[in-house]
Amino acid sequence: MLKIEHLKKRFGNQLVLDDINLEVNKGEVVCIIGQSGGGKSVILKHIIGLMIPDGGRILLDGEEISSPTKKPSDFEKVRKRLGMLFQGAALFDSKNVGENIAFPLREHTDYSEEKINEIVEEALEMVGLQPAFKYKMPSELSGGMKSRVGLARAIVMKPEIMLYDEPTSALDPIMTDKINDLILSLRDKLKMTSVVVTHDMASAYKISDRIAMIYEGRIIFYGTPAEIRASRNPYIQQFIRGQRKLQYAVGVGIEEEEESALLKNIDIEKIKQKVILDRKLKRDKSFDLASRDTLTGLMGYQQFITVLRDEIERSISEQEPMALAVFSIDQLNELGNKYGQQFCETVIREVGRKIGLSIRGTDSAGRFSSDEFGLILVKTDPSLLETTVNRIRKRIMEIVIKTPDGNNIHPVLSAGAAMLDELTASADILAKAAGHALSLAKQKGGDCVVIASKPKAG
Amino acid sequence: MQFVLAPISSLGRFFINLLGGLVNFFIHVSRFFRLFWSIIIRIPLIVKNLSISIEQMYTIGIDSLPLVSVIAIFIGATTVTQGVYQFSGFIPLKFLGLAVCKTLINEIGPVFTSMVIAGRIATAIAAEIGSMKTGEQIDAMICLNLDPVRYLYVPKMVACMIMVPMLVIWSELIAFISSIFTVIFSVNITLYVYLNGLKYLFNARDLFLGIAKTSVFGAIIALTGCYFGLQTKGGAEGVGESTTKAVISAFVLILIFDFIIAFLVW
Repeated sequence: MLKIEHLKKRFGNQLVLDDINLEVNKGEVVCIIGQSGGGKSVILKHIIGLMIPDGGRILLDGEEISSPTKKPSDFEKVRKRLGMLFQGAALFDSKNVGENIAFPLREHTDYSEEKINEIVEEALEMVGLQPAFKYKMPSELSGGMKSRVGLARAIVMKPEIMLYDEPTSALDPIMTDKINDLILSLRDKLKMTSVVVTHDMASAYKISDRIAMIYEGRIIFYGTPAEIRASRNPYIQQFIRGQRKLQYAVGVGIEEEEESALLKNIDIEKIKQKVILDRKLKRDKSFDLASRDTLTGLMGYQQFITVLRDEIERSISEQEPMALAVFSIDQLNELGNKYGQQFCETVIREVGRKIGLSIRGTDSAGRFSSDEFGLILVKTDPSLLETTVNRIRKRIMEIVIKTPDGNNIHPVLSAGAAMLDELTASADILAKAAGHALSLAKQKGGDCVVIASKPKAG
Repeated sequence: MQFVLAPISSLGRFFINLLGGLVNFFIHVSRFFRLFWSIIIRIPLIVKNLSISIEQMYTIGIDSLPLVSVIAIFIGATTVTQGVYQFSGFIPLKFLGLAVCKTLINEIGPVFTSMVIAGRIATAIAAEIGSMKTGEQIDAMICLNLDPVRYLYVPKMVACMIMVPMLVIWSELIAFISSIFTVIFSVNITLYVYLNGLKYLFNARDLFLGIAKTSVFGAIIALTGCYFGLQTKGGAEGVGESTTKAVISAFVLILIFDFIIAFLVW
């Protein structure tokens, strides 16, 4: 029904619309979202002829209605098919509500005053206002009421397409919901096609059949609300979640200079991996030396718990699996008794180093207590947890340590692990669950892995 | 070398700025006349929406009566007082009425009253249209296929062109009455002598032209208000700026056109 092709608009040196392409079908509600000042309202003003484009064109039912060669006077015929609700309603201050709604009727129709009055009351009723409201002045109305009157004025000439310019901005959530319901009811009752400019995602999800996202003068996304939720474009995710910084699907903030590359969708997975490692590096650099374990170079307990909390929060928000594994050196007491404390420290240092080398770039390791190490395993499948922990354990046990009496020994480790779930959704509880699993492994005689299981119902 | 180049550079900058200013000025003048023309060609359409013009006439005319009346009282009284002071020792006071009449009818009455009305109306029009522009009400009118020129500017222009002369007539009447009372209470001549002086060398053409030119002043008041209202950008600050520009431009244009009319007619 409505088609925008390669629309361009420049204000002075600023390119507001670069290359807008959009198609709206009959009876559809399309929301245009994007940052303030991004050119959303400018699109609407081009559709209704308040602005003439610098390039591109707009078609209505196949007929060109806007292009650089058109004049403002060419829009008179088209505007009969369009209605627009402005941000703040734009009611005429000097006229009361009834006169505002009746103004276009009086000027464009030959209806009698009685008929006009009837239509005004009908329009007020349609937007959920009492007929008595027609005597009120715009200054006596609240923001929501003004929007409704503005809507009544716009629909009174029965347009086929309604354009809404941020109809719910500056309204409270209840009033926002009422206006959203009104947009939907108008679509259903009058079969109106609607183009809604908004930056309120809740409204966009509720009313739209399709959502178009504008960024730097281009439509970077056009799809259903479900599709936009599932989008992996970090800018879209940032916008729809209302986050200050761009976020990957794994919840990692990225720097501004990486935005442009990301927005072009250049090997997202590759860049994502790089950013995860950068994040880890930055985090590691930010650790104060005092918070590090001087013996192993791994994170100390406090720092490890802080990271654990962050990872839990991120995994919950990203709905990704995560696990905590705790390793313990089984023969440490025995070795201490035999070779002394200094040798124990050597064993701990070597095990700690090996753990640091054995984990994936995305995982984090820390010294949990004197003979225990913690390992945060992100994006770890529950079915593979035992295998993963065992593989790491065996890799650590491959190291060879020379004893003071010249023998070679391999450290023997027990491990307990717990998956993050609704029962372990805090750092303390998850650490306790993994610690409890480790105790069970030790009770079993050590040199094994125990995975904490959920308590059975009842 | 620096001391040679610096003044040349300054001079270059000065001329570039001057050129920019001149270009800007002529752009404004062309827009101003385009708006004027678009209003003039729509004046015949006024019959279809006479009620809007009548409403404007009431706002511009009747609502301005108290202000114009107060100003007129003091114009009459001050003209007499100044006349007496300037005449003393040189010119017989029997010519006081003549001086007051010529001053009030030709210049002070029409120009001063028009400027007072400009202070009230040009600012009001600029503020109204400026607020409508920033509040997107003018865009809303366009979207409803309602021509803002026809529904907003033409009624104001017509109302000003009709009501400013009416107010000037009223103002001159009040000023004459005020001058008579001033003569009675503070000047040492009889009322008969003063009234005879008023009639002496009275020319109906002067009175008619003095009032007729205020119709042009009325058009200037409406046009500056509309034009600078339409130029409004931003919020309340922009509206304030527009009203100031409107009133200053109206004052300047009234004086310029007063001179042009005087030069052409008298």
